[in-house]
Amino acid sequence: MHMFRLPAVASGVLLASAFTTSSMAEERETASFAVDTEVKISSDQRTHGISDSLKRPGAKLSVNVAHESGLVALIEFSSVSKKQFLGGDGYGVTLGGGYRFGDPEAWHFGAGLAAEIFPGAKFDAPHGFDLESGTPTNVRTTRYNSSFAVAEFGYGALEGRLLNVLSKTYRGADTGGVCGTMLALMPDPGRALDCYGRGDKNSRGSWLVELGYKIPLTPVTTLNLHAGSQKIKNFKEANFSDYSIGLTHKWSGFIWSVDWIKTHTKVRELYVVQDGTKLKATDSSALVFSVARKF
Amino acid sequence: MKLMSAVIAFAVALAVPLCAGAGTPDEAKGLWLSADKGAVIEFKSCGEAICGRIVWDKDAGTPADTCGVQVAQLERYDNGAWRQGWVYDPRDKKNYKGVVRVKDGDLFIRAFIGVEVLGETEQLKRVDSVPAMPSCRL
Repeated sequence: MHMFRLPAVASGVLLASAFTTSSMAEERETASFAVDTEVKISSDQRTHGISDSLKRPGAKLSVNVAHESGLVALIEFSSVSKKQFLGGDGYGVTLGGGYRFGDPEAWHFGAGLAAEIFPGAKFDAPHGFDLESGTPTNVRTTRYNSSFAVAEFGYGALEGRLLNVLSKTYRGADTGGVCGTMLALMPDPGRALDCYGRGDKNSRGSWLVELGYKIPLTPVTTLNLHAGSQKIKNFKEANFSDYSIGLTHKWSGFIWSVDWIKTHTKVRELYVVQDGTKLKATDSSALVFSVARKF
Repeated sequence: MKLMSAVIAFAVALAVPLCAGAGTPDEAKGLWLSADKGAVIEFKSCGEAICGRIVWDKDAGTPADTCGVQVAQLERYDNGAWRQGWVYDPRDKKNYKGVVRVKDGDLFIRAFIGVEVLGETEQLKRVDSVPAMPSCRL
């Protein structure tokens, strides 16, 4: 739905009809659905506190559709780093659909399904390790695509979201992705071998929890608080949490935001990316600026 | 997770006062300045209902002039808010279902599709009079 902007442009025809309105009440047909499009540019493209753009600027196009029945749908295209989503086309697509109900001033809820797709992105990694010969085994391909069951709950401006991973992996977190990365990047192979010792696992059933609160400071400025916790099934090494505090200000038809984002990871090696000859962390704290426009 | 718990407790504490400060039916009447300070809307009775109309627009006299446009009509005051009616967004020229309530001295107009949770809210500040210029020719 469009941001409700009362003093916006009206057509001459519309104005003419509006001027004929009497002071008595009148009936009007109300919209049965709304399509809301937003374009956002940010200094860093983050998901659950992790940079998807290798800490470089990114862009996102979102289209939200809402129907009067309570059904909602979302499609989102966002730029991502090809160095993180190996072999990919440099963008991700998020699809979502569900049902929302309740009172926005009190308790409100939502339920649905969502998927993240990174076209072409995949990696090969060993899913086993032969301790006798000291060599990795069972090299297989894993994609980063994930799907989720989503539950939303809120009370007033307090919003919570719970995601359960339905796909085989959360963003490629399986024995090859997690243990293989640890083996490749950690100086001490002990933890990687422990990881391999648990057998060939995936991360279906992981939980992602988000909580947000928006405090209006003025009619056009909002203080945003966020906290998230991610529990990766079978790979506690990959668990992480994220926090942010930020300001959003509406001005000149744009939505300007600045957020301080802090992410806490257990094994940082799982959140570093090879960039040329250097390793770059995607979980480091950052001040993220963004500007968005709704159409 | 300790920090997470603290954040949850803080957020719940902040959420509790949301119910406070609900107004009376007449509190919504008067002049209200839009969030971007680009328009003043006057809410007053229209029969049994309450109606909102733009009485000042910073773009008055230009092709973008919205002076006189009726932007809301709510039929019934219930549970601290005017409900059962419509609000109009001149930008997309669509009517939405609406709720208008006064909370802590500010007017909140919520435009929504079907169910109230699918909507957005505009917060307006009360003003005593409309700015002198540019004037609306109503």
